[in-house]
Formats: sequence, C-alpha cells, structure tokens
Amino acid sequence: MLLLGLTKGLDDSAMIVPDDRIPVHDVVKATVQTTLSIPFYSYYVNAGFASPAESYIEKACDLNELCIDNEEATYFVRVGSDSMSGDRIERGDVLVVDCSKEPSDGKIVVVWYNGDHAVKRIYHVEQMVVLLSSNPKYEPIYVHEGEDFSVFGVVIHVFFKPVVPPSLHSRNMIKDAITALAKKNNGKNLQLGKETHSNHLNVMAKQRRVRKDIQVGNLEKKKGFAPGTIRNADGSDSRSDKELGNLRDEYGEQAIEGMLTGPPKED
Amino acid sequence: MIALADCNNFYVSCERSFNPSLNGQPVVVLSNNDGSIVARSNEVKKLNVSMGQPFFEIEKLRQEHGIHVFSSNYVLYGSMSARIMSIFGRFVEDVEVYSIDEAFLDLNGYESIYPDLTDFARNLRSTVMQWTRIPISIGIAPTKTLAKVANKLAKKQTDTNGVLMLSTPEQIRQALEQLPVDELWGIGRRYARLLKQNGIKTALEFSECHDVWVQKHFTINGLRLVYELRGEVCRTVETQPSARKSVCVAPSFGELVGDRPTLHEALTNYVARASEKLRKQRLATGAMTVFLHTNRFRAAVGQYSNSRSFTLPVPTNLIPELSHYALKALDSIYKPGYAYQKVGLILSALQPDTHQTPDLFEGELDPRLLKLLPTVERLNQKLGRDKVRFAAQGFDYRWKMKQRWLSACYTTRWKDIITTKY
Repeated sequence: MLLLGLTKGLDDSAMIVPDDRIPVHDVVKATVQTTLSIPFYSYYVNAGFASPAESYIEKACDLNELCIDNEEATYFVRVGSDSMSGDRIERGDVLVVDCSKEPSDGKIVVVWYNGDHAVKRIYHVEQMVVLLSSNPKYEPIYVHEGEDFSVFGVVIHVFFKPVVPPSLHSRNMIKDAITALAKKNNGKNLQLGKETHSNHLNVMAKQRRVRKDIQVGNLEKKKGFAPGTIRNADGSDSRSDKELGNLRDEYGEQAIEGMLTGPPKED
Repeated sequence: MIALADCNNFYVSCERSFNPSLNGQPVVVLSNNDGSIVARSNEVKKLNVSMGQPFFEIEKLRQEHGIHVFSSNYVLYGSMSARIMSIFGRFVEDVEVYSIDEAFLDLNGYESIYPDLTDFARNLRSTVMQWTRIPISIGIAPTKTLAKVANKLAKKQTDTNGVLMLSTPEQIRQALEQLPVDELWGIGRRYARLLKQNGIKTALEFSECHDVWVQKHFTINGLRLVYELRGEVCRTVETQPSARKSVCVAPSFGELVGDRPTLHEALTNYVARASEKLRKQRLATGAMTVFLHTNRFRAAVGQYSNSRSFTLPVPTNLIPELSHYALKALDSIYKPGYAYQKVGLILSALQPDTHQTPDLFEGELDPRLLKLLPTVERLNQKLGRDKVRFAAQGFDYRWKMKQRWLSACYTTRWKDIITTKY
C-alpha cells in the first residue's frame, strides 16, 4: 500500500485507502450523515409473495463512490458564471474538484487567477498557461510566468438540476417525436399518459388566456407555484415584477403558456 | 526513526488555503471571542507581535501594515486537520495525532521501503501541499524529543525546505548545541529558570547532566527527556487515543454579564454543549465543577471568582440532569454586584455511558429522557444548532461569543463552498 501511494505521479486508482480515512460525510458537513443508501435489487419482486428478492440484495449504491476518488483531496466548488456553458457547466452547478489529479492539457480545472477562483479548460503552451472558456462571450486568458496564478484542482464531476419546465426547443422535439410515431402507426390516434409533457400541450389549448399585465410574482402566487417557477425561456430566473405580456413578447406565446400549465414537480 | 510533522502557522494556512490572496500578506487569527492572537503569519511574526497578545494592542500595527484579521473558525480548521492526518495515514501506518496541527509518525521498519527518509518526507510534504495547500514541516530523529528538535530547526533554517533529519550522533550533537534549553519540549518557565541558575544554557549541556541530579530536580519526566535527547526512546508513538479525562466548556462572554438569569442561560447552553461532546464519545460524567470569575485584567473594578465541585448521584450525560445540578452549583457561588466575564463548567470522572450503576435511592433514569436527547440532536442537525432547545437555554444571546471576522466554512457548509467568479 505504501509503495503505491508514494510514487510522485500519485496514481489514485492504484492507491489503497486505509481504514481510518475520514468518512465522506465528514467532508461535507460534520454532523450530518450524508451517505444515502439506496438498496439495489438485482431481481424484480412480485407483490403478494414473500419477497424472493431478499436473498438477491447486492449492495447500496453510494453516490460518493461514483463521484469521489480521493476524499482527502476533494473539494466542492460552486459555479458563479456562464463562461463554461459550452461544456454544460452552468451558473449554480456544483463541481467536484480533485486536487490530486494532474491538470494536464485539455482538462477542465478550477484555478486561482488575479484574486478570484475561475473554472476553465487548461492548456500549457511553452512557458505560458492558456485558459479557455467554452462560451464565445469570453476571451481566452493567457497567464505568464510570475502572475498571481495557481491551479486549485481538476473538475471530475458536475452536478446540476434539470431545467423544469421544458424549453421551447425540447417541446418542439416532443411534438416532432409524437408526429413521427403517429405516422409510423398509420395515423392512429395516440393515447398518452397523463404525466407526459404533450398532455400539457392539450390542456394549454383549452385554457383561458391569462391577462398580460399581471406580474410574474403575483401570477406565481395565484397559481400556487413556488417563487421562481416561472422562468425566462432560457431557464434563467425572471424578475418577480416582470409583466407576463413582456415575457410573451420576448420568448413567444408557447414557451410561456407551457409554464403556466405544467405544474412544477421539482422542489 | 520517528518523524514529527506539523503545519506551519496552521490556522493562518487554513485561511490561505481557500483565499490565496492572503499569501504573502500579514495575517492573524484571534482566540475565541476575538480577544487575543492565537496564530500569526510569518509576516506578522516579523513585526514582533507575540502569541497570546491582546488584539487591541496591535490596532496601530494593523492599520499601518494592513494586517488581515480572522476570528478562529474551528469548524474549518478541524476539517482541514482531519484531511491532513488522514493523508499521513496513507503514507505511514502508525500515526499519533498529537494536536490539531501536529502528528508523530513511526518510521521504524520503513527504512527498507524508503532508503532515504528525507526523500520520503519531502514527498509527504508536497502531497499535503498539493491536496490541501497547507505547508508542513517535518523533523526526523531517533526519538520523539529529538524529532521535535529537528522539526524546530527545519522551520528555522530556510535551506531545509521544511524537512530535516538528525540521524548521526554528530548531527544530533550539533543541533542540540544550537538549541537554547528553554525551547525544549517539556521545559516550562519554572524549569527554564532552574536550569539558568545552574548555568545550563543549551540542550546539549542539559543532555550531559548527571542522571541523579536531573531526576532530583526535574522528576522522572525530566530524566526521560534527557534520555531521549541522548537518543534512547522513552516515549513511543501512541496510536490508541487515551480516553478523555475531562470536558471543559468555558468561553468568555462577549460583554460582561452581571445578572443571574443571563448567567443561568449561558451555563445551560454550556451544559448542552458539554452533553453533546459526552454523547458523541459515549461517555457519562460522574463529577462536575462550575466556576465563574470577573475580568482579572480590569483591576479598577471589584474582583470575584469562585468555583464549586461535586460528584453526581448517578453518572449521566443528559442535559436535564446536568443543568439541574449545574444551576444549583452556580446559585451557591453567585454573588450579585459583579460584572462577570466567564462562567464555565468542567465535567470529570468520565466513564463509558453504558456502565451506569443504578443508585439505590435515586432510582434509575427515566427511559424517556434517553430517547428525548438523541431526537433533539437529530432535529438540530437538520435545522441548525440549538433550533430545538430547553427553555432554560433562553432566547437572548447577549453573552454569545464575538466572532466578527469569521471566514466561511468552505469544507463543511454547502452555502459556504468556494464560488468561481468567471
């Protein structure tokens, strides 16, 4: 164990972890057990019988096991900008950062540069470090020797919540898929489950139009939605005093109405 | 060989770990209640600010040199300490965690794996640096005491790169010759004076003293120290943590407190803290000391201090029992008309909480109480500290600690994790 751990390359996969390591839940919050065990069954159960799956319980899936290779060197970092949106890293996402990994060319890394932390893709060109964003709004950063720069660690996982409700783009995709399927089934009418988004489309057509001068915040209250439910079409938060009419003008009728009919399922 | 690894200016280094703009800047960390200085960066040490100095004394220096000030963030320091100790554990099997920022590593038997132990130490040092951004120093020597000496020299000498090994008799001799005897591990002020009176200035001179003389004046512990300086192992690396002997909760008040209800409220809260500590380690207390005192540094006003110790009828770790007795004790020593700076509580005679002998007259504890506290604790873990509490703990936190310059808990609270700016 010791020999493996000591080579300066620090090959993590080869490293055997001793028993007295800090449990991961301590790294997150000292007092709460965050290890969430979801029993994983390898067999389906028939209701009414004594569970035949009992003897097939394997082990619990542990999210930490999936995301963390090296506890002692792992930190969580929140994303504060949209500079890496091309790599599906958005504002508010949580990065799992491993400081023991080599920040080799092409890796997405968290760095310290000129008084702030940043998330970028890193390249080394001779004596220079180049930091690239994946959002065209942001220029590349060239870091010269002697500047206030250090690599914090390498991003090994990104956590984010899916955007609810669906964007106009994905709603069109759903529509197209249904049409295609209907064609394939020789024009037979499709029966859709209650929970599908396309059902919301049907409801939408019947529903009375909401007046355009109502403010987003008030509308949310009226509908019993949580604040922040009604969003701009791109998924970002909209101001609570924004008028619905303006949202309709900016993002199109459909996107807005979809939000009003699709009650939020997420917290 | 034994290594002593310790973190340089640990609290300051923890702050720098998540805020690199503090690198190269003068930084101090203050004690509980922001009273005095408990950690200094090298830049501050150069300004002749001493350890334990009251914070208000350096106000002028702070403005002149732009010293960065932090309240002690023990949540952060504890979590970083755990990481570092765990990293030591990956390299060496026997690690004695000696304090929050230092540990002894037993390197006996590792010579065959690491032919050059200094290389090994450098490797350990750079790993800790990369994984936590905290600089450490490592001293290696045949005994714990000498490892301490080596560590001290590793910090002092700039060309060592934080690692120093004393292995040959000449190296050890040279090192002890340089070291003033009062800087030795285990030599307090009183012993230092005694040594000075006897004309012993360096650690080397002390190590050459006669055994009988040493034992007579410095007890068996002094003799062990001398043996260790000569290279004979008297203190081994202890990997089993010794059972806790006592629990003390006694932070200073943010402002002076005179009235009894506020003191009651504070003490009840400390009881809750102490009870939490006990239950975490599955211990029960058999004896309790309650004390209070006024601010000793304010000579102009009246001074009063007192304490009361007693044994409990049944060893316990439950808040209602503990606070009942603690408040009674406080009432018996409380005197009105003084402005108190501190009330505190020491729990001793600790024992595992499973071995409670039921008392013939007091009877057994109400089993419902045993269930109540874990439930309250679980709720508080979810909702935040002290959200559900005993009414006696009160609602007004006038006596609460001052922590004006507290940094974020980067590793333990989701809302505090680092955020990228661009």
